[in-house]
Amino acid sequence: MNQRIQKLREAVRNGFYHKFRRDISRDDLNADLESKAAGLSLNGRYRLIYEYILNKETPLVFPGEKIIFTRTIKGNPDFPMNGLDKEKPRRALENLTIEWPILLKEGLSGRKAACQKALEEKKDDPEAVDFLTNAIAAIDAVADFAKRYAAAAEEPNQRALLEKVPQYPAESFHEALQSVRFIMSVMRSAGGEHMGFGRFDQYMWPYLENDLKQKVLTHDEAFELLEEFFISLSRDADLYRGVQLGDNGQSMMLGGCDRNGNPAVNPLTYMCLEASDDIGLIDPKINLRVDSNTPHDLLLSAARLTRKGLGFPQYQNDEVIIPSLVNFGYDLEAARDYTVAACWEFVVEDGRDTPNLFAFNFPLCADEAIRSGLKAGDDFEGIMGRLKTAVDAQVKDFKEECGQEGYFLPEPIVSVFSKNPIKKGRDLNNGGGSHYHYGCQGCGSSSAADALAAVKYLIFETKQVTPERLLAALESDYENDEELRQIIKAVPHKVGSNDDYADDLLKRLFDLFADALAEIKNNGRGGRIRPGSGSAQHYVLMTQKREGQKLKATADGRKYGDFVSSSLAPSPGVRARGIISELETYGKLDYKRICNGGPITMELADSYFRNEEALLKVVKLIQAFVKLGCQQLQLNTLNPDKLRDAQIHPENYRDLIVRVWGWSGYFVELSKPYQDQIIGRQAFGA
Amino acid sequence: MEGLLFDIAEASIHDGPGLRITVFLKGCPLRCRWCHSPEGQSAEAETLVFPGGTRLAGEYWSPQKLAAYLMDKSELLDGVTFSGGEPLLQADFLLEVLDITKNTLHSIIDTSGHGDYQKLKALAERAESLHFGLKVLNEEKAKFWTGQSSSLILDNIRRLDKECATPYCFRLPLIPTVTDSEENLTAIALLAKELKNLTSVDFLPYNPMTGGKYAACGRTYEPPFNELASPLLDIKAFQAICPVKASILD
Repeated sequence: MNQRIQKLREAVRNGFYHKFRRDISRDDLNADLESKAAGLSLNGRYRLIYEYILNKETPLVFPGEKIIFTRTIKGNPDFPMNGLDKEKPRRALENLTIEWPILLKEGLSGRKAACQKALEEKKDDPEAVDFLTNAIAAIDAVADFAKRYAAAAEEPNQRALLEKVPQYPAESFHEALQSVRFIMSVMRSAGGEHMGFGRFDQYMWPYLENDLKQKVLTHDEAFELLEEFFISLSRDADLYRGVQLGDNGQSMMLGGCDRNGNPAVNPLTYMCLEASDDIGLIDPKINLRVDSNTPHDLLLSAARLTRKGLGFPQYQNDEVIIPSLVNFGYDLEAARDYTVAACWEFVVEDGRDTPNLFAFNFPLCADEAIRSGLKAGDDFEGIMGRLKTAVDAQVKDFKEECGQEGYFLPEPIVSVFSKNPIKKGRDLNNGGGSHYHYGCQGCGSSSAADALAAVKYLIFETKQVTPERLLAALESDYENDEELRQIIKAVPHKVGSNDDYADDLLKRLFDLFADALAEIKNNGRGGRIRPGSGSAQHYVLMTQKREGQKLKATADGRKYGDFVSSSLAPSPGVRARGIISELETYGKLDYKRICNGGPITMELADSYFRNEEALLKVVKLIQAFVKLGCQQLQLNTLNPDKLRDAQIHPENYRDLIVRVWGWSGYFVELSKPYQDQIIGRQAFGA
Repeated sequence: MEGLLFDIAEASIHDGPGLRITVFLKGCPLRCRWCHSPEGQSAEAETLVFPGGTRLAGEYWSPQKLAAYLMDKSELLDGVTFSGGEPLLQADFLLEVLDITKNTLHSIIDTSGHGDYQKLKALAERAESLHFGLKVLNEEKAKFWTGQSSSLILDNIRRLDKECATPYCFRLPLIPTVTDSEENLTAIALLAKELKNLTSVDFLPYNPMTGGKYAACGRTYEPPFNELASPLLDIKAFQAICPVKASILD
């Protein structure tokens, strides 16, 4: 970081840019929009949002800055529903990535021309006319806004840059960065959530490569631009909060192969890892695609970033993921070009999948099967039979939800920068894409398997515990039988230690889950449902004590209100044998079927990184992760003592970063349940 | 015969090159005043009590089970280190394990050197290298600081150096005013000059978290030396008289 970049970094961390925001509340924005939206089509409503919100923004260009854009109003509008049925579910476009190369190659002007041509061809198709005219108007709104930005720039270089992009194709690395920053920002200003940057090193490298060849840029200048771009992503990120602050979906994918399967790592791949390590901010969230042939020095750079403790990169194993996407039905070339959305959900081009639509509750299914089976005097396989019934019943609820009529909200700018909507004359969310799958997260899997293992072991094999005793303990939340809870805790079969006994039950759970979802041949939009292994915020939502909470005490010794396991990790409080054994456990899952994403999440004690040799060991761990056939890995660092102290003295830990689930955040900005869950994780190598 | 383990560390950091597993064998004849693994001393299983719960330290493994566990991972691993406690106390168990794993895993024995010579030699012959955890060389002082005279250890090292070609290094914890004294370091350098298979002397800085596990074992950590005394950072004088490479590990 040079001095200028350091100052920019300080400015974002100090909230310097917040003082330029006008305090227009979301309610005021919404009230305005509602009144204007009456009688408009869905496409017209989203076009209206763009016109309205960009018009309210004031262009802000700071002296000397090279990546330009700053939000000046606080609120983010909701989709106006005036005159529509507010009871029906609404599905906005989120958790995907636009096709950034289209933006860089064609600019707004190129896409507007494409819209006009399509409009000519489809003038007898009223739906196409509606989509295309509104798309053109939205493009115009963005282009006008960019012009206002250019007019506000005092420095000639800045003005020239803003006059060029995003209106016209980018021709340099600098222009490409500015174009991406601007379009991402306007999409977010209009309310877009969890949009990712896709395969950043792939679409950016040609521009950088050319600049370096033409000697327009030196490596150091390019690195400085990249750092400024990265830092700019934190300027307004507080306005885009998901479940918690930091859950803003600004993630990018690096590395991997090209559409022909050839290695596609390039110098920019390395630069992104280095820049992220250097600036040490939570955005952008870095993802790295790896396989058996990933260069050692790239893994070393990645390990260095892991050591930084930002909770990324998240590692993706191409050798598992690409075949699983093909197996699900995606084209091979498109599958090779996969990226992730905000967290870990796989995104394949030319579609509008909704990867996080459903959350499946494994512990609840296991609990229903265990309680009813024990009451009925079943043997263990009887309980497993009931488990299948419980799984099928929960999936049936999803099926019913699929059948519900709802609004699939358009997004003209996302559609314009996708492959086929213009050609088809349809918004991406309304037939403009070629696939419409849903995704279902499979939550709390290890906790469910541990509960089944405890029942199998204690009740049916060692017969140490009677069914009546366990049932009574579950009913009373273990209040009268703490001893039993300790017996359960001591059961030698738990998920995460490469123990076949427990791991087989985990596999069976995922098989039942995948079987049940495979029965849904049409999700109501011509797609199917991808089973996943992530759990996002559900380890909290599925367990918090509240009215209507179905999951009570469970047979893994978990009391009502305690967390369940998160994504792929051992149950809370379980001490896994070690890092390699844990990878072996999760390498057993059939990822050919479990193809929605959801990482193994493990923590290394931050003291693990005392010396440089640790980096080499982390490289070997990543290689082991690939070799064992695992799918995704989050390798985080953890210092529970420091986190406990941060709970008491948050003022001393403003910059302390932790991985929450598919994203990293500032620890002191999280609410307590999320803080507690992180403190409770097992830190290896302390 | 079965072995008693008090822990296994996968991907351990300080116990040798590459991705390794370290197996900690329970029971130790020494009682070093700075021991950072007090749960490794007793040769019986014991329950550790932490503020957040309990954990059993001490699990019996058959040689077949431990060998299978390690060999299962051999393609991922660069090797295994047997540490403790004192692995020599369970040499028969370890020999059985090494007979099964044979040439599949690079093996290091991490020992104080205090134990039966023939067993030490048998282990050394089957391992790729040894780490001798040397402490205090002066016999009388060793008794006070480690609970045992150093004579057996020194005899074993000298004899092994003559009779077995397996390379080894010294690993010396830098205990302020105790092991880092000029007298002790000079003695080590002189010893090093006698030996032909010694490859290096590695110093391990004193870890201020050493006392962390005593409470869990129901004991109090009361080191009779000044923990806060300034640690030895400059080993140039030692390097000047030591015939092999010497460094402080970080």
